[in-house]
Amino acid sequence: MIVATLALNTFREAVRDKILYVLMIFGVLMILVSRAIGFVSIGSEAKVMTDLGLTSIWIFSGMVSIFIGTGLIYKEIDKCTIYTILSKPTERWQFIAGKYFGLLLTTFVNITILSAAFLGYLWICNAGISLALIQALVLTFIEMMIVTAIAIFFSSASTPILSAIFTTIIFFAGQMTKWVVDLGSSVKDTAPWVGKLLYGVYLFMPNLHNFNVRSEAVLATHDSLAIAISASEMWSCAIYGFSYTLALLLAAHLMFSRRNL
Amino acid sequence: MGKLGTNSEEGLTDDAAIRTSGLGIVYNPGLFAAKKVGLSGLDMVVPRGSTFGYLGQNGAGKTSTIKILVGLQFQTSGEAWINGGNVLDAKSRRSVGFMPENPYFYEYLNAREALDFYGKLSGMDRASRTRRAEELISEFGLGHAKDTPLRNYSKGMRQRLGLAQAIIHDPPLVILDEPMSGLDPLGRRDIRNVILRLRDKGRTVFFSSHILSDVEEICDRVCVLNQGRKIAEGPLSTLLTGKVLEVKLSVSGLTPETAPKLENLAIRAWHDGLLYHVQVDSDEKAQLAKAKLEQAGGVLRSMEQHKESLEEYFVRVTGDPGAASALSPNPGGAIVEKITEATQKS
Amino acid sequence: MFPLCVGISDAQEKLVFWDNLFQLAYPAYFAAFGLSAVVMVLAVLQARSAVRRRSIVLFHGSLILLLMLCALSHQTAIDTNRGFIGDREKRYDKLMSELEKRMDKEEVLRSQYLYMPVGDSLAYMTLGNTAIAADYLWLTSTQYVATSFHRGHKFEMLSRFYNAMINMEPHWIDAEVNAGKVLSALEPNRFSVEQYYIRAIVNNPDDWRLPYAAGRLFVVPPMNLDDRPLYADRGVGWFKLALSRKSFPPDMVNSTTKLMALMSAEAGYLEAADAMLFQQATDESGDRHLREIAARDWMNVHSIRLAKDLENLAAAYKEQTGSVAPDIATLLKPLSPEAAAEFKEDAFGYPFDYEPATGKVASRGVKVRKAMTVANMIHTLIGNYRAAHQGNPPPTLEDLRQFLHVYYSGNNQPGPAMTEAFGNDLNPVRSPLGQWNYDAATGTIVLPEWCNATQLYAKADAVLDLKKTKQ
Repeated sequence: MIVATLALNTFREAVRDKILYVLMIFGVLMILVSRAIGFVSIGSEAKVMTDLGLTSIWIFSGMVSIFIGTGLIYKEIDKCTIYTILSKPTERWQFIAGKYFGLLLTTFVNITILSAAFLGYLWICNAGISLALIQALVLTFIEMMIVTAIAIFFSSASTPILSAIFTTIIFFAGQMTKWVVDLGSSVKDTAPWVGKLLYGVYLFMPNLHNFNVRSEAVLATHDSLAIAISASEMWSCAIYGFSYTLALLLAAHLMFSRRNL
Repeated sequence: MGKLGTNSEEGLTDDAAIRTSGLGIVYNPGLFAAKKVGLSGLDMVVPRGSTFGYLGQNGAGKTSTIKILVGLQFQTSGEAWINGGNVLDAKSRRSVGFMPENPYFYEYLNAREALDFYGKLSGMDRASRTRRAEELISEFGLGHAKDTPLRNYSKGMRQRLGLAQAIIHDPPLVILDEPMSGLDPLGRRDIRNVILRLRDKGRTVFFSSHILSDVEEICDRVCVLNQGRKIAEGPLSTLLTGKVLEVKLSVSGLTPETAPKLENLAIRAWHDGLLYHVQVDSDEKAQLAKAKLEQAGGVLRSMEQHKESLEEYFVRVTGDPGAASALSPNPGGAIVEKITEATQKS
Repeated sequence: MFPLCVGISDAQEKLVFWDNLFQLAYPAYFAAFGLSAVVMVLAVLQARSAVRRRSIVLFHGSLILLLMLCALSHQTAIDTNRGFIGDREKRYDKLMSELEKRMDKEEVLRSQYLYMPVGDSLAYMTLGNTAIAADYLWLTSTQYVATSFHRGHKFEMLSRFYNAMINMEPHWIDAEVNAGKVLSALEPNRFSVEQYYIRAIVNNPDDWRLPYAAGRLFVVPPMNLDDRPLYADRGVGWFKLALSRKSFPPDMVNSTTKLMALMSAEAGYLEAADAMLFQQATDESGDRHLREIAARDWMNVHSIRLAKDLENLAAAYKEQTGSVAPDIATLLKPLSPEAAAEFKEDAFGYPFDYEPATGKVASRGVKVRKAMTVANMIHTLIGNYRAAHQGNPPPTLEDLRQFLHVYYSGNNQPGPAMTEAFGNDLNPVRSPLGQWNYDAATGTIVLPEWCNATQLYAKADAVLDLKKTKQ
């Protein structure tokens, strides 16, 4: 109940913030412009359009999570609005959860609107829609669950600018963590233990690339395949996302639970 | 849930609204900065139904105490209870309303939405929320601005809304942190009236302040804090000696040239162009001075007695004359008991 | 005593250690799982007691660990499905070898060019972070060199990589020098590698390493002997450029000058080579051993130079008189006695050989030096011949020549030392001394009595003090 109250309030805060609309408008514009770029690529308009659309949904929902999320808790502390909330019979975990779900709701609405625009536009342009695209969008949302949790995690411990920087770095680095493993395999002859160590490190990193099935989805759509990845892989990704998110939120709460405000 | 919204003494297991025992907090700002003691060994009992003033200079530990009481900070030693519930337990905050110093709210909300939000957080049902919000908005004179976003509120309005959100669920204990700081006299009067109304309804009001006049006017008990330690606690009347410190006589019809010499009597004497003033340090001296002045042809216009104020009390107990002036930025704050005698016509 | 060996065994120990450790990965996983579960239960039980904070930390910590372990197990599942770049390359390699069966290999290899990044577009793609792009290119190129999966066309592919890399990060000299080394190892044509260096040098005009590396390109003699002067010329030019840089390390000046001197001689800059080597040989502050080597080289270059001078005199005589001079003494007549004394014998102390028919002059010392080297090579070849012919030496040197031609046919190309000794036509029959005295029974070349190192370098020590005696 209290979590829902806080979440709805957070959502209301985000909705009344201009930045959400700016990002959303940019996202929709990108989707619309994708056709023009598609024209340039002779013979593969549909693919380029779909590629660009999926990527802009990903990047703009990421930006919403980062820019709105990183300021959330810090702003409450900085502006002292948190005093009136935590002095009510509100537990601190409820506060964290409320903020998280509020932001997640914002991200969800954002992705939904962008996806609707995207799919609608594809339909209008007769560019081919498949379940695989929905898969890619759902995984994007799960990815945003983690990104949002990262934003909350940093926001509960650091200033908005720092947490925005950290979260952005993780957001992009998370797409490339496989590089760590490949780095290890490139030295497998000279120093095999380095490779193994790096693989161990890799396993604990936020591997956001798990949720990037965009190119697979686009290829599946244009090869008339139904899905991009199997159901079991989808489940693996989902469980990975949920576990990682929950772990991050717990860590955020652990830091926040005894913080003097 | 609705039960919480209505005030009742039921379920309160302690006869004290606030009780602390050895309460202390040490701030550890990090690796390279020294630890700072915010509060140490505070034992304090706030009786239910009292209006309790919590006094101290800036940085004396008032806000630290209050933040511990409402769960914003965590003590490093000792314990504290609110209406019998340990402050570490969020449930203890059901029976308390808190207004922070300089309260801020979500700027994109309006008064009604904000009060509704706080009502929800306090666990009230929709009907009582709406009713209480309307009640409080009109009671605090925010009716004209109930749909204005809070970012456009003035400081006084924010302060009143802060009080309103603190008492939305009509808690038996209200904790106010510096409720009157930074307000104009009118705003201070409003807040004062609200506190008095709460007292009349039998609520416990605990508030911190560094403006002594406010405290003297409305509190029946005070606790004085200096550098994180309690230096006095009790009813105001027992703290202040009631001894007359100064008497000021004002007479007309005399100029410095015509006035009698009062070297042994007066602390100082001056003429402001209209009246001749003489200041002495006891009642007996005042009578002597009065006689001499009237002898010289002066007509007594007023005689003001100055008793020990909290300010002077503060100087006395802390032994630091700077403490009181730092404490009270308000020069008109001392209690002045005025004795005005009828103008004698010559 | 053998630090390298110690290093290796260290590394092996480390390897064993880590292997043992990684074998524990699964047990460790389950142990961590169990431990965190137990800790969590304990934390829940303890939550009722007074130590609230500790139980909160324990509860959170163990739950976080559990969740991470859960995430981790699914991560491995996802990775198994999708694989890493390494796996992808394996698949790609397989595909390529399959394609090669059906298609022209060249065509398959050339199709890879399509995926080569081009400098400018890369710069835009990185949003201006060209350094990162350069790093990426460098890392990719090292993998490209190291892995077997990209076969053939390595030079073309890599030079694209490296040119893009120079575009991205023009001042990353270490990588540029290394890239040049890789390219020069891949490509026998020095001049195409030189082109690469020129690009890098243009970007870094003040650094010595790049021109030095470019000079080193030409130190290895070319396959074709006719290119030698050209190579030497280029090498000397680059070394000169490198030496002129302020940053050139002083401790490398000597060895570089020596290289330049020898190459100058090859390029035909006899006077310059003569002067440089003489300077080195007589420099008393230099290392004794190096001075001796320089002295021997100087004797060679100086003799060649004297012979050249004599040839010039012979040409002048022919022009004046219309007839060829009968002997050297006739040539020296117009000179002053001191000047004539210089040409009495070559720097080794041997007389000059004069061919009255053509007016050609040669230093016998130079011939002896060459003959000794070539004879050594022939003995090595005879060893090879014996190995291929049940231990029998070649009956004549002509047989050896044929053996040599069979040996170096097809893809097997002779090295520069071989062409230098036997010429581009690989003819061991030809001797610097005119005719070999070959003993077919023992399979050895019998050199004339006066053709030995002791006599040849007898005057070398005197050269070291020549400056003093001259003064």
